[in-house]
Amino acid sequence: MDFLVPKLSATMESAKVLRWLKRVGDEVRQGEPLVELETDKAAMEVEAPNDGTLVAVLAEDGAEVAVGAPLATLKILGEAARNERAQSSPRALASPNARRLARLNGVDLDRLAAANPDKRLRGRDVERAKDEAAKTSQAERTTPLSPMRAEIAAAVSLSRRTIPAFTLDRFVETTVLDHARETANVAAASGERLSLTDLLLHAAASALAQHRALLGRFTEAGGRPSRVSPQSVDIGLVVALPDGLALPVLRDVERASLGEIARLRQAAVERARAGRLVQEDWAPVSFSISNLGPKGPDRFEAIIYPGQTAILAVGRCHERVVARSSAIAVAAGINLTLSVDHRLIDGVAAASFLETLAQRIEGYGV
Amino acid sequence: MAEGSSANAAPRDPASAALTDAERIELFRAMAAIREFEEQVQRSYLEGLVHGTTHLCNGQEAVAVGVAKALNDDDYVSYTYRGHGHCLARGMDAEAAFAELFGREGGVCGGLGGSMHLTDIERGLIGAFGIVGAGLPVAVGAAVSAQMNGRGQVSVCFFGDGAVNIGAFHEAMNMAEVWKLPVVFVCENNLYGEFSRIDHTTPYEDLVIRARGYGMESQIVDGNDVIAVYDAAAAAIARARSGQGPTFLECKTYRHRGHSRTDPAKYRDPREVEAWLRRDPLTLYRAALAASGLLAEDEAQRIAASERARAKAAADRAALSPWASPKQDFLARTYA
Amino acid sequence: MSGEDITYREAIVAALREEMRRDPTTLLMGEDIGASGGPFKTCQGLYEEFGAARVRDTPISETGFVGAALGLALTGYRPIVEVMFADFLGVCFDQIANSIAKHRFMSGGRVKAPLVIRAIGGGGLRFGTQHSQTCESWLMSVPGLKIFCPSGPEQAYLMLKAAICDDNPVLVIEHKGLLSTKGRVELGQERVEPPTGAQILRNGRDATIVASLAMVGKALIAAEQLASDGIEAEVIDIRVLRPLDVAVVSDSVRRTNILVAVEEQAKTGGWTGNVVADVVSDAFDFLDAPPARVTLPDHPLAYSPHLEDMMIPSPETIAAAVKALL
Repeated sequence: MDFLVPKLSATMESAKVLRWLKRVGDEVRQGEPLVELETDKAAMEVEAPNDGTLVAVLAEDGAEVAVGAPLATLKILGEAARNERAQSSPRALASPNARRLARLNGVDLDRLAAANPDKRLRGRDVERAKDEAAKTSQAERTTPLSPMRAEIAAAVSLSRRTIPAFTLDRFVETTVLDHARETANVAAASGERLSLTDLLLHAAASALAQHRALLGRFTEAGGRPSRVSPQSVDIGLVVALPDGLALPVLRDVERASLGEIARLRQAAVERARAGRLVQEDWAPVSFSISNLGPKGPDRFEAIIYPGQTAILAVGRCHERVVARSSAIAVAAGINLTLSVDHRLIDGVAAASFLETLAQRIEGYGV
Repeated sequence: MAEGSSANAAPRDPASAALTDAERIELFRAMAAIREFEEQVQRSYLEGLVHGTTHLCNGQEAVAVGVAKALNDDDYVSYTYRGHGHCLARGMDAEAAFAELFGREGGVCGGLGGSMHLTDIERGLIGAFGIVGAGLPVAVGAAVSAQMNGRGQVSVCFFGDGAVNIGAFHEAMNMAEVWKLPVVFVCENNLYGEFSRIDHTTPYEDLVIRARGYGMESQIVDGNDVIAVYDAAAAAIARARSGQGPTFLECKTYRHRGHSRTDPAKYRDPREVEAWLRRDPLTLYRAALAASGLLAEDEAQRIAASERARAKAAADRAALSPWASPKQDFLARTYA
Repeated sequence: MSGEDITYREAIVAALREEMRRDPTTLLMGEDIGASGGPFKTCQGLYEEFGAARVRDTPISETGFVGAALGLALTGYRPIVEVMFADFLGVCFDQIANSIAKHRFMSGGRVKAPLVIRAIGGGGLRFGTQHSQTCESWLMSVPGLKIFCPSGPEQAYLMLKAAICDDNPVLVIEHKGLLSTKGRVELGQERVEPPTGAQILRNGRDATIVASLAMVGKALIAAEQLASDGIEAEVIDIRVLRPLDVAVVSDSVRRTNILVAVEEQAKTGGWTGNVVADVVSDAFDFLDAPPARVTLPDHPLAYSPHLEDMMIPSPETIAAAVKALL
């Protein structure tokens, strides 16, 4: 993959390459500092977004580079085979819809195009190819995972191997939250309806702003355990896709209104579903939310994405019996399960954040 | 078919006979206010405060003031891009007008219209139209409104000699007469449509001939004699109020400056200009007031100076108004 | 479904009558709309009920009476003018584009101009090219206007009522070829919401067809023809050309992956160009084929009947355009 110059601050337009911390041929781990850039604000270390190998350096020490310009080429897991094929054959004739479905399902478009010369591939051609691939397995056979699935496999393994996580549970009542959502949706146009996730993002942004420790990320740059503290409150959102998932990022949500958050969330989901995550989605974030929706389980524990610090799993909204002032009552609510990296965050800090979040949700809008 | 009137025929029982001394002096002050406003616009333009272009009415103040005097608060007025005088004569706030020319938030149109589009609907100033002749049909519509309201309102439309050759003029004149609408068409014939003298574009110089073609009552008026304008306007407006239909008043006048800011008006014969400058409406009226013992020359000077200071002060205040905001809701300004 | 089966023409008259009864500040102006009821009988009976002051026959002076509509609207009235043939919008174009559409903005938002211009346009009736244009896109590039295009009796009723209640200048393009077509309309509605955005009239999985005015009916017939070939087309009425909102169309294309846009105007400068551009922007990754536009050719409309029919999109040409993309 091309490693592009990240936008490290809101005002940044370009940077100077101060020095490369890795050489061509070096293996890099995700989160490991790769290069030092100097921006209008300060000198900053930029980390590798994935595990892989540094294959090419595209801007030498001292060069001025613009945000979004290619800085280096990294070979990451699963990518090698894809790159080789892309370099050797000309661009396949395929509709945008066919490309999207091929991206999402790991169908090799070039091979399919070669088998169908003089034809522009369309969505149904890709779906047929995918169905045929599934059907032709009579006996047990081994098929390579799609690049997306392979990345997910690598990521969750790395997470379990390297992140000492602990979890905290909390049931929060959502009566107030639901009421706020219904009220707002009465006036909203059909394309602008708020989802439960929008309000959760809003509440989480507010809680994170008060517990900025959870925004930190653990890193072992130069051999020393350190914390990277970002300026803004960013939240990743786990989006389910037909054959996997994506983790687009909503940036700078602390200052966003509920309507803006809803728009950011919609845009993030759209680009995830179109297979078009952007550089901003690859840049580091410390906190993510995974909501399995109304058909999800009562409770589940999510896996912290490598490089991140915490993930909040949201169960389905359901009614349960609760005790209130020594009396039995029924309340509607959701289970929140927070998984946290213990290298950086202790029980008290995590519990305190969870408490604030619960208050924001149960007292939403008040 | 109505007979047109001959030039400068003074009406029987002129309305001006009923004017008090204070009202007569006030007419002078109102003209001076317009003159000083336009002079200040010129100075502000040279200071870079007024943008694009602007169309000054120096020399035509008597028409604006004379007609305005004959109007009630609930009458409707439409005018053109040379409309500062008409607006001030109806009481538009000078500071808000300057701020509009300067493109500021405090402008009468929030800085969104500019010099050519001053509007102040609460004062019955329903709009300034930048396309020549476009205001006449609109004035006709306002006259239909007045007719339907049945309260004796009138619609007055100011336009120049250049407008009598465009389609909108003809359609509006015809409709006004056919429907006997309470509209007074005030044609300020300053002999030039932009840079072209009237004899190059129109077969005759007396535009009342056009009105006769529509069967419309008409009169030629000395547009530089504010009392003559007032008398003619009052008579025409009274006709309209009483349901007798429209009148076309051709006010013979002259503009001192060019068509617009960048026009030095070199196409005009200097002798013609000289002759008209000697008939400056303010000069003529000052002499008339002095002759009748109402306003001594030094008092007139003091009034002019005071208006000059007021115009400057209004412009200075307007220059302090913030720029019209880029963050405002432009769609709300477009759609109600 | 409640309501009665009435013609597009009757729907227009009903909307005018109801609003004129409800709101004494409304009035009509136009050529021959008084005792004659209008050349297309779109004002039938209104002169008898409301009188000469509120139903005004005008001279042949589009600039005059359309400009007068602005004067009335600025001074407390809600005029509705009829432009006998939409082609005559060229005569009063200046009043609409430079005065009516811009007056509110130029005043800094301080005035409003609640007026309706009903322009009767459209071809297929052998009136020759100067009397057969829909003109639906002529004023589309003028901000400050709203443009409604009723495709049938129900839309004619609802859109005209909404236009009259709208505090902005609204151009309603009525199609003369639809005047005698019938449809179910629920009359006597108190409050009608302004139309926003396109509307799906027929659901389908395989292709999206978006059309306006008389082309909507043709698209629906094309969809029936396609259905007998096992192709299910989704038919959308674009309804409002300004403000243009293609969200419904983009949404549909994300499901069908195919877009065919149909209009009764010459290809260059027609609104289907705008819609295709916007939908490609919104739903680029979902397109299986380049969107197609079915339009009039880029030359004037001929008079001779078989030529006129050949030049205007038909259900057959629309269905063929869909099949070519599948």
